[in-house]
Amino acid sequence: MNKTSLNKIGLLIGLMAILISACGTQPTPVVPTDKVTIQLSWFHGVEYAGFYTAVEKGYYKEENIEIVLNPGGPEINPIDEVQNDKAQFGITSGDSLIIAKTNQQNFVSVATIFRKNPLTITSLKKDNIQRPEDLVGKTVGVYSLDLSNFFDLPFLALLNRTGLDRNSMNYALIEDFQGANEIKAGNMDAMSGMFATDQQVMAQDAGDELNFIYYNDYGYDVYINTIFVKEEFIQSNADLISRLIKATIKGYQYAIENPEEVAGFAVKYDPNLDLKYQQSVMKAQIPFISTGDAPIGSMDADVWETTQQILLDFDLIAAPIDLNTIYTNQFTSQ
Amino acid sequence: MLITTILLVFIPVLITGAAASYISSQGLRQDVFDQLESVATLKEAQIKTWLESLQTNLDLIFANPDSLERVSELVLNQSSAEQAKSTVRSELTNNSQRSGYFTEIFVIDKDGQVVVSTASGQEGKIMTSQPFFHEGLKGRYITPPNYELSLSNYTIVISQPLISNTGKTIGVVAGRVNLNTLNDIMQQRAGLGDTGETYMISSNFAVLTNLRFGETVLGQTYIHTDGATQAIKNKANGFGNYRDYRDIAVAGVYHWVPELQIAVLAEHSESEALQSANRVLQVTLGLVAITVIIAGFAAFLITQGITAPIIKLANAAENIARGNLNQQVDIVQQDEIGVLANSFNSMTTRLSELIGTLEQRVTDRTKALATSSEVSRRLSTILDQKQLVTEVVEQVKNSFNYYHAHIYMYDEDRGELTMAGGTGEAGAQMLAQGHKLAKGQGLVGRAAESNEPILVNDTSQDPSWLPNPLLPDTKSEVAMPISIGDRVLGVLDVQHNIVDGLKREDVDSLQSIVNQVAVALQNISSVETMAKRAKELASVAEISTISSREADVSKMLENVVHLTQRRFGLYHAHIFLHDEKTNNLQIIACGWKEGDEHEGTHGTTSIPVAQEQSLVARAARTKQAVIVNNVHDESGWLPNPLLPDTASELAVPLLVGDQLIGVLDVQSDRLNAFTEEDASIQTTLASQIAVTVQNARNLVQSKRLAEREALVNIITQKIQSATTVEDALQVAVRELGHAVGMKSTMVTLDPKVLAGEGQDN
Repeated sequence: MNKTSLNKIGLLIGLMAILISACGTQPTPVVPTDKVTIQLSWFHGVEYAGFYTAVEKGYYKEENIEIVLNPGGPEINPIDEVQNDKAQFGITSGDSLIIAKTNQQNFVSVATIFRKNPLTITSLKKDNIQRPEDLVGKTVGVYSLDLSNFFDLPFLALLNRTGLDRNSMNYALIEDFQGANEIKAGNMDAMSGMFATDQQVMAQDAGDELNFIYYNDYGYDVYINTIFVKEEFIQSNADLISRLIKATIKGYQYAIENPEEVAGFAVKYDPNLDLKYQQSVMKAQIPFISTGDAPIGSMDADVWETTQQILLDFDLIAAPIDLNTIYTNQFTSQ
Repeated sequence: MLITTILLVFIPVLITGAAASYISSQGLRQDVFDQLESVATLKEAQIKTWLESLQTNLDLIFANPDSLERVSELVLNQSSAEQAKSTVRSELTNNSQRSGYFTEIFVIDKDGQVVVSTASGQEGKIMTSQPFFHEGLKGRYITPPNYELSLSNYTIVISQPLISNTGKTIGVVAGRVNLNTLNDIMQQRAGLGDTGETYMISSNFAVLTNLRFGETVLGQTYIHTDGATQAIKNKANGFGNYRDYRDIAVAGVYHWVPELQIAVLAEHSESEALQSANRVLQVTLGLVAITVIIAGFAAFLITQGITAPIIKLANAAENIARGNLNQQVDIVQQDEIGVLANSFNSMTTRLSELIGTLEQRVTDRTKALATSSEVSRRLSTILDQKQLVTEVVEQVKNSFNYYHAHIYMYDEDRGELTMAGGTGEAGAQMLAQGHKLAKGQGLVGRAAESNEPILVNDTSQDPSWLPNPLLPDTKSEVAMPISIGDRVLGVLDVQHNIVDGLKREDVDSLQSIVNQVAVALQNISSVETMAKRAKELASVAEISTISSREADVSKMLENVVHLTQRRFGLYHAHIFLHDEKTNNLQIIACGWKEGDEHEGTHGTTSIPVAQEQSLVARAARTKQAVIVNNVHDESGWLPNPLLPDTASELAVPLLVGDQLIGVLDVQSDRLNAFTEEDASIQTTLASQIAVTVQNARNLVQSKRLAEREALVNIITQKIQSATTVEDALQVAVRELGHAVGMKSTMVTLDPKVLAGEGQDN
């Protein structure tokens, strides 16, 4: 080997070294982080554990998303917030979305938090009220004495489905929503429209044993906390929705597996929350989130049909809408 | 030079050793996967058969046209009385308790409302948004295990259309089961060793059955191991090495069961699986060490030498170092150098032998492992015992070039071993002769007795060895028990026509094969048992449907016993009906073996219910099934001269509710022919028969009642048409006498009555 060829090799090595180091310092193009606001349906609480967990565990970060969670409350309608672009995602019930659609507000539900409806008629175990028939002659706690309140709709639907006469029982206004206080005070025998999840925990804390009649079992099937977006938002942001739902569902999967830990995440958002109570509620709501027969967050056509049928039965909408436009499982079945 | 020599000897030996260990550990890994694969396949088959039995049971619920009629009325006419509902409900409850399969049976009408359920609290619920309702209207449907809120438990619902007698779909009939049976299936650990386990997870990663090394709380225990994630993500079968839920390295096989949308995982800890591989490694390392020491010593001697022979030796040593182990030096000297040369030569010979055997061992072991994998790969798909036996003996004989191989199956009840298949002409002849051996007899019998392999390296040296004229060239033989734990299923016997042709190494290779064969045989018997059950349930359905079409009770029962004897392959089946007046059991129908001269007759046997010894009477008294699996052991058992071969007997009462209708008695010419499961199947059949008999009787009774009423009407009319009391009395006595078939009838009148009340009338 002569000197020239040695030089050539030296040159080659030198060039390659420069090339390699150049590659190393080349800045990778930065994709800007997606910033998203989510309007919750109610005050902070462990019902939204999947969102908190996805933040805490970095699932949104992996998807290059940053989220802001706006708590709801009695004065805040998530539909208006999303309609007015104050949030891109909202959480509300399936029937509200159908009603909005008939008012030319086009939203699409992209996932649900609870796959099963936790609404119940609650009574004390010792009173042995197990079926709707058992309410005949009893006093039922409701939201309005003439059953005109929107929250009394499930009860009206139940009467309709089971063929029971609304005059066969008495009604009283629920004023104290804490556990079974109203029943124990003798104001009523049963309370309509309670969440099995919270109610169970409050009653347990007070040392009471409850019976539940699930509205779900009597044909009142509604998704009570679906995640929704504007219809036009899907067209331009399908990828973002897909990533956000993926991370959120991952958050809920983690939440059902580690209920005690994630209750702590909720408390970070609202320090007034009681950790023990949140832990109990988180455990109680697991079967509503993970039903075992379908992916977390996914929805069934029948539930949407039932919801629409109830709205039609009570003249809350004039004509049926095309349900394929109101929800999609494309983001939950990924 | 010393170091070079040592290194150059050391390196090839080390490589050969490492290769041997690697190959054997790979083979063992493959063995473990094959075994797990067989187990997972078995579990999947068991789950599917269970689901089929559930569907057959669902079919049976309304197999009786009368029950179908009753439920149809209930479903179509919602306002029907609570009485009708409770009749159907108790019918369903009986059904569900009898079969023991369902925790709840319910019927949904076309609007989705539960009309009747064994759990009355479920009645009135609306199932419109449940897939088992709308899919059940279209055909058979099974839900994945899912959490039922009102029951606070995971359940599976099986549903299918409810089709009325007129062929219309009028609703859905559904059965609910909990996960106990699936749990039982997963807990059977045949072929899984000390650390193996199987369990089930749902598509949401929730653990559905008990874990061997951890607690399962339904709905709260989740598993995200690689195996679980792969199974659920891909919805497919597969295998791999990964860390399990305890973070312990395992070999795992997973199966996706699409019918239930669940994954079955079979796992086995790697450390247990690789124990034998580590042993191979240790032996190899030992050999390497010895070789190196010898080589080192030799090289040391060589380097100590001087002058020409030493250079010769050095050259030779260098040759050895290059790997030429057949090196010999030709120095014929009587001095120390000569001795050295001699010992050098014997050293090289020894070295070459050592390495040679090592290579041979690797080749043999590789081949053995390949054969073992091949055999087990094929075994897991064979579900027929005869085919399995044939495959195994052929594979074993051909792959190892043995002289002969055959398998005996062990019958625990009889304590004897029966030839099940063998290679070549000798195998075929022994099979044709139905060759049998007693436990303890010969090599095969001893292996079965001790559950240990029995090896004879040289048959001529073993005085207790018995020659077989069909296999004249046998020089060595090994009998390998095929067993699962302590239970011996059979024996694989292998023979070679070379003395020492079968050695300890062969036993090791054959051991892994017989392990696989044992699992495969177990699989076959489980699958066969379950298939048999499913077939029997189908027979029950068929017999009850056929019998319900025959209105005449004795003809119907003749059909039933005839079909029962044929379909269940029994020696005999007969039915006794209970006579309430005498409290006797009267024979009414006999089902004889095909071609029996008595076919069509049933004699006149009558047994008092109180009779102590009779099994039939005992079943009637206790209202429970009575099983006697060896009638000769049963003191006081009464033989029937027409049925000389009866060996076991099963009597089940025919009951409607709590009322005794009769007894169905079935007999087999085999010992231990009946299990609790058989009793449960025959009880199902018996209850169908009882209901049919009861219905037919009710029909006859109501006809008779109607006839009697008609007669009374006619007589009354005739009496009323008489003009005088005398005429009326005349007509009355004549007609009554005629009606009851008396020659003469007399009426006496009390004059007071005639004077008083008689005038009023």
